[in-house]
Amino acid sequence: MKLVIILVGLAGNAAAARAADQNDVIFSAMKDEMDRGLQRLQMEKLDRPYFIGLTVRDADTASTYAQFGAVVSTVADHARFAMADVRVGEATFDNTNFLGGGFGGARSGRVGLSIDNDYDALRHSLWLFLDRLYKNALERISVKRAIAKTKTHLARAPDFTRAEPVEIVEEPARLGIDLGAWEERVRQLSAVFREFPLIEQSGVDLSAVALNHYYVNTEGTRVLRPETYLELKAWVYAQASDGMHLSDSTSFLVKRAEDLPTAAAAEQAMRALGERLSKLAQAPEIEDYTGPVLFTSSAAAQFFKVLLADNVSDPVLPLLENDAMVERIRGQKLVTKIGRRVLPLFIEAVDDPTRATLNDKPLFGCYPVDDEGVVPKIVPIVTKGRLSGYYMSRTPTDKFPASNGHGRWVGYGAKVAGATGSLFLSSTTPESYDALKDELLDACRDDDLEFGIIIDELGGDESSLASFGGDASLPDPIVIRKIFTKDGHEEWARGGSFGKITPKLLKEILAAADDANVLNAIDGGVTPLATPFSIVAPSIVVKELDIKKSEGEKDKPPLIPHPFFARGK
Amino acid sequence: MLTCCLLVALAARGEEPERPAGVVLAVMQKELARTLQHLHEQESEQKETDPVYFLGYAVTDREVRSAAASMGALLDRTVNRQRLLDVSVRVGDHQLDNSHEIRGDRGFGGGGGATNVPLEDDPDALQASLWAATDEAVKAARERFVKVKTNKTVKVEEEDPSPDFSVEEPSAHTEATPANDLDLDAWIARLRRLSARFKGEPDVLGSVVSVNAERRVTHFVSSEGSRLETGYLALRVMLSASTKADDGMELSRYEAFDSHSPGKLPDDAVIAAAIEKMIGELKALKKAPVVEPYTGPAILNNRASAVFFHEIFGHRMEGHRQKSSEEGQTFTKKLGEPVLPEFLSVLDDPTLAVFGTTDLNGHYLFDDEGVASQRITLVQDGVLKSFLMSRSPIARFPSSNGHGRREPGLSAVARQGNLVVESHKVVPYAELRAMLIEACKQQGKPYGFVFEDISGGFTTTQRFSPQSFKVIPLYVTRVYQDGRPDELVRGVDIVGTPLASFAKIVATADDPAVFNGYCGAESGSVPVSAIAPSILVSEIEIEKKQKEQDRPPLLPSPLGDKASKPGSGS
Repeated sequence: MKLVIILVGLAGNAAAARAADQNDVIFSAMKDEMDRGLQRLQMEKLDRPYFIGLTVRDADTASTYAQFGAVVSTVADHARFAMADVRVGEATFDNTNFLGGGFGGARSGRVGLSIDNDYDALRHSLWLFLDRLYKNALERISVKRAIAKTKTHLARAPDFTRAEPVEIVEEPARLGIDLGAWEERVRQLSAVFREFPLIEQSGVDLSAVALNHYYVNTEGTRVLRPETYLELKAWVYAQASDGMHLSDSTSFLVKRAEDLPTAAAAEQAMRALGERLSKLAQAPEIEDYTGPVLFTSSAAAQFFKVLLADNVSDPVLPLLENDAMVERIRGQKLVTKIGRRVLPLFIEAVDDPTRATLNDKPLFGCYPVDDEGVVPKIVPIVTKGRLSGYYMSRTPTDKFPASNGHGRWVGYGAKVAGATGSLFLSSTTPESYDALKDELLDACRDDDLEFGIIIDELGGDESSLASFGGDASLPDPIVIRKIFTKDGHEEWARGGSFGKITPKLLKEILAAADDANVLNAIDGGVTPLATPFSIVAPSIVVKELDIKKSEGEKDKPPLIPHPFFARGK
Repeated sequence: MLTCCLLVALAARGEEPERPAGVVLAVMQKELARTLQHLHEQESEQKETDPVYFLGYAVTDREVRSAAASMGALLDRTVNRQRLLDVSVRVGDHQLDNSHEIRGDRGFGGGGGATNVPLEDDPDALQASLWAATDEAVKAARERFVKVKTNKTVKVEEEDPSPDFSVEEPSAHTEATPANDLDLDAWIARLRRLSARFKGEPDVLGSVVSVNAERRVTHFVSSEGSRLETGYLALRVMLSASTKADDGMELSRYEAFDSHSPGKLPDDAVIAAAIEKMIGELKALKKAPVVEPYTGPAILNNRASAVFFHEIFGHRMEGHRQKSSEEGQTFTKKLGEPVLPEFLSVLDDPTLAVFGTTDLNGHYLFDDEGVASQRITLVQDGVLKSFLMSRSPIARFPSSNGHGRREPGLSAVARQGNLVVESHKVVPYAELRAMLIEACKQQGKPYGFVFEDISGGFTTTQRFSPQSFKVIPLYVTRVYQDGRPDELVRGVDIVGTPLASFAKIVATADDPAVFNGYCGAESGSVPVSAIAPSILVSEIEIEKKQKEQDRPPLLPSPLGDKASKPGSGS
């Protein structure tokens, strides 16, 4: 059955005709070479491909960067590359989904393609690419078969499952940007930091990518998913008087150029950033703290990204040559805990990539079809505090036999794995933010603490938070707000970091507010390898956390005064 | 040649009319002066015994316009400009400073990495960038100097007690660099058209036709009073194509056309002819037999001989290799002794801009340490006379001869510019070939080899590896002594040890030619040229090339595969 969902095709104007031409050429080159491969690729009497999925990413990128009122770089590029999934053997046991066989490993890789819409040139490149991947697939399945023979107990889920074919073809995205105007914009915004003598270094960057994700597979799926992302970002760096390095950044991530902040709003944001770091540079260093912490704003969403979302992603355990690798691959993942408590009873978590906006704010984790051509489903992740699901690609696990439409390119195009779309967290017993603050103060009083801590923002690059597995750790907080029990006044502190944490911390959540903090971010950044997602989370109070005085670098202050700010002194 | 050197010397004294210094140079001088003043005040206040005794700024303005096409379609179009800042700080004194080798530390290269600075001539923004990079570089230099001193006390005395940094006269020169006005869109149309030729060749698996134009302007100031603004425009059209033999061996051909002005790039007819030649050669190579290991006489044709001298001889002439405890030092103790046959002389002359009508890649007036380039005779009548010198002195060579080169972000070391091999035992090429056949007969060998083209090679100059080399020929023919026609072969690598190989050069032809290229070593990629005549070697050793495992593609090219065209129902 072929399910046609959307077919956007505007006729009648030149741009639409060009777009249609691009789609025709790219799709026919992909499909013709893929079909030929499926039917005719065979080396001697060895396995033939049983499935081919072919991706072409076409991306227009542009960025311009300025420091202190002058443009440092401006880059514009159009690139196109292919990635492919060539499977030999059969769905129950194929060449994928295992680790072993030495350094060679699975050669998925990418191949650069012509940026002209030239059928012959595209096919020629795809021909050589599929040939290489097919030969590699044969090598891999023979190694995998040999390894499987050494395993005494081998009851594994299949390597692949069927998915309904879909056809979702939209109009390709284009980047229509006036780079000269952009340069003027970052030049002006970066000059704002000339007002802040404590800010030693700073920069403002405006980047954009218009990417067209083409996908076809041998089951009949055909997808063109256009996406555009723009980001205005600023960073600042200062040193405290004791030499501690401090940095902060601010970012506006949007899907349409007209949603970027106005000149006045952007300038105000630059100034706020400059003021914040200047103030922080003069704040005292934090002392070691153990006690309740309130996470709000983006920090609340980042908390759930690190502790929950990453731990319910990429759930598949590949066949391992070396079983000792299990620990390293699984890390602290929660995926073995289906049906068990992972959060307090009052917290619910649902992933819903079908929702486009929240309170008129676009959600970046919304997509019509995932990177394997599967239409996303709404997935209950945590129900009444118990783990009820996780992110599935087309590689099954023992618990879930099919994809739930969360198969996405992760780790800068390293692989397709189950990953976050838009994760919504909420409390069944929400309270107002003010009440939550009172809970924090009450918890402090119970522990005889003079003050509690509020965190608004964690460090790390907000727009390109990527999950690299291994031990979870929360990025260092930027501003630490101390709130005092006796009168509720606040003081800032700098330089703290969280110690080692585990997902068990999720159960230590005391209460959650009725707010919805939205974190829109992109695994891979504003690049052709972008995989965007959203986390929507309430502000929360965690019962007990350690914040240690940072062991981060302290350096001598600058040897010589800044040439601009020292002038006239 | 002497005239060139004189001109440079005059310019350095400022007696030539100069362009007014631009904003970049002015800001660099201003921040340099301010920094030195502050540092000296602080150092005298703190009674610092290890002062910053040298500070240098280099800002490299690099503007690239390039495009590449394959099979009639565009692969890439790049227009990019960046300004890269290198800050060079020396702590201690000329004898011992922070650049000194730390023995046992095999860390790569050195150099603090380059920083991107504003493209715009905004004095405040530029000065702020210089300030931030200087702060970091001074702190890093002081830290490293502490390690140097510790290392020096715990290790045995060094073989070469030469100072770390030479004393040189300051240089002053500014020149205008031509604009990078390559008409990229016109070139893109040409690249599409020219590269489409490969569509008709199903055996050619990979092919690219590209153009690259780079304008580079370097601004340099130092605490010694040097002030330079120099630059060049380098253009290159590059062709590459490859195929696979039935046994899986990768076979490739390259051709490059280098010049200093767009007008001197080849026209379509020349490029098309080069493409035809490549296609013909690849087809012939695909069918050519694989050779067995062999030792016997061979000719290296001029351009192959130039690459051979650059790789095997030139790199061993680089001054710093005579000093480092890690290096094999093949030639260090051979000064004044014969190292080549007496009919050969070798010099390196970066002041040469052209050879015949060919623009030379290795031309520059000042090196990356701000020293005027010099023509330097390395070997005179077979006898070793000198080395290529940067500002890192070695025994008997206390000064630079203008060969300190680097890519932005790395530390300069001695590198080649234009390496020239001269011979006074020359015969016409036909006679050299007759001599090859004669040598085969004398040695009782049924055939010898002619190496037409060499892609480059590997040579280990370091002490912990054997002093051997391997060069990768791309186009080799077998010449039979019994008069049979020449036969193209494949799968050959030349191996050997440098001293033994040079001793076996018996004659040269009268046909010196230029190889223009880019040479990669510890200080990065630098443009170089090598000029040499064809040489006859009485004995060369070749071994079988390591072969790739993958077979040629299983399916025929889709462009010729009628069964797979769209609409065919497949």
